[in-house]
Amino acid sequence: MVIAPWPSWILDLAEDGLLADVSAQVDSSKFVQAYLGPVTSGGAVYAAPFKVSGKPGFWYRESFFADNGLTAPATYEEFTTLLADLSEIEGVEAAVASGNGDGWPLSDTTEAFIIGLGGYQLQENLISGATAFTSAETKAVFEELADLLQAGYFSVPDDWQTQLQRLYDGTYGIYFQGSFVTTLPPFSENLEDIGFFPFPETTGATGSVDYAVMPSVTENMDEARQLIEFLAGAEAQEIMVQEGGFLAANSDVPESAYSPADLQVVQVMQMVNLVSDLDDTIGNPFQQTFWGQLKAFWVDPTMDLDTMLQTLQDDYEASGS
Amino acid sequence: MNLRQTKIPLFFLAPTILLLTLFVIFPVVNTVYISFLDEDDAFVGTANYEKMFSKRDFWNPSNLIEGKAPPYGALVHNGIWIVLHLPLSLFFGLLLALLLRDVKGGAIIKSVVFLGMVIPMTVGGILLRFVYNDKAGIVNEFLRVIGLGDLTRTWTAYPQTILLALILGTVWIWTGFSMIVYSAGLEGIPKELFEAAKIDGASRWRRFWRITVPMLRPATIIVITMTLLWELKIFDIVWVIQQGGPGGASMVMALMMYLEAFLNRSFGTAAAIATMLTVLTFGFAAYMVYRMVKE
Repeated sequence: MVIAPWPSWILDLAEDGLLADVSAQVDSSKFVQAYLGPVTSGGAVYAAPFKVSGKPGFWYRESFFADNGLTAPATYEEFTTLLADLSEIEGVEAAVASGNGDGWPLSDTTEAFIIGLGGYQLQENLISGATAFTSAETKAVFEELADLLQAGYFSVPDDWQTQLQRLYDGTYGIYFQGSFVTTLPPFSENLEDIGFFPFPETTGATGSVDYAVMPSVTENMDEARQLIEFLAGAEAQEIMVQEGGFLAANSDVPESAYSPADLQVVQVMQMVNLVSDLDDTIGNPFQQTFWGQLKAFWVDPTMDLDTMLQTLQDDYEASGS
Repeated sequence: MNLRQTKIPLFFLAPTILLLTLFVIFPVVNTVYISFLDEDDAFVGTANYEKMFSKRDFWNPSNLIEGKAPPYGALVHNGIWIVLHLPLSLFFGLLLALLLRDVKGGAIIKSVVFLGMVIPMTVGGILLRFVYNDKAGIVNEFLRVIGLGDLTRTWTAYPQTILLALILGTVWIWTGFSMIVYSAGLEGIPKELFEAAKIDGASRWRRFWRITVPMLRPATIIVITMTLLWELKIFDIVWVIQQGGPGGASMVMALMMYLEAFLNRSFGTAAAIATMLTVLTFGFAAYMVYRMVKE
């Protein structure tokens, strides 16, 4: 059995006959379509959703906000005002921390804007191909993001874990990240001073899912199926959420199993439409291109958007989605 | 030569030939074969090579021709790496070998310089990330000290500067190799040649140009060969720093081959890139070996 977080890669392996059909081990009524859909092909489920890193919104230090008279925004207008206010605070280098690494911190932030400004249906349509990356509505989202980048509201991307410390130090004001950051220092040591707010007025949220898959050639078929069934079930996932930082994919896991910080994330995500992660679902070569283009876009928001979006569309088509 | 005299050498060579065949010749031939197949193992001629050249990440020289910032494509990036990295590594390696010759403590300094060669390349890449970092990096601190604070930035975050930053960073890593080879070469030059030239009134520059440089030709060929091969195969440092980004501005052929094979699962295209890399490295290596034998 293997744990893998990339649904498109999982489906590629399944199409090559390398993964076992685990439909009988996964009770589909316990999982939302956003988690199960990307690993289903031809009616067969090839992976069991195990744990979820919710991407609920922008994290901040509550005492920092209180000291500077700031409040979490409820509307997008309040959000842009907050960015401007944060930029004016002495010692703050940029309103929003930007994480570097493979590129996923930037893609997570971008997807929040796609969903927040374009609606959850835009993300779903981009994944399905119903809407092209070169469409006017997609371009509008990137134009807005370009304006914010040009205004200097986002930092230059740097090591995503270092940015957590810098957020806590007050170098940056807010940071879009997954819920797993509550397990990392300095957040884990100061949970009472950490809060988050969702992208204002958003209709959706994504979660990065870790799936359990079973090679079709495993020698211990029965035992592997038993393990998959266990991991997909509420009991295993309840044990997992009690460790903190991650959410259960199985809806039968009770709220009492979560820490207060994680429960907040669960409750926020229950209020919106859950959407699949864009680049994880589409896969490669799109994902690598998406990450690379965002890294360039973040440091040069004046780059030609039409060229960038066409590049994304070309690699979306090459990904065979 | 009788049969026994032929059989005995063959007997001792057989394990080497077997290993070479299994682990070098067969994989190379098989890779070339795969480069002419599609995902269904059907023969498609040069389609994979055409696909390779159609990818912006591999071949995008228009930006270079128009005087714009990278990306120019992996093939061009490797070429730029060779054009800049090779002469700089040669120059600094020779300079350090000359300066540290017969100097007290020279061996210790050479060891420090050689550290770059000893550390794993992935560690070297992580070090370079810090070296070029806006907040923590020594490069930016140096710029601030000499009054060029306006130029400070995280050099590996920008398409305009990442390729140059990587190349200059790897000059530091690789110079230890050329320094050591040249040091050994210098020790092999007979001192009598310099003494005779001095007696004849030859200046220091003339002695360097007419004796040292020609006598170091075998060492130079070795340095050029090994450096070229290293520049063509560079992968780990690029991966660690920005995975070929941002926007493909630091993509190199070996990394692209890896991405095509293991992320995109496009084995035909990956094999085409691998074949091109093999042809280029083999071509350079064969020419250099020919030059060495000729010398």
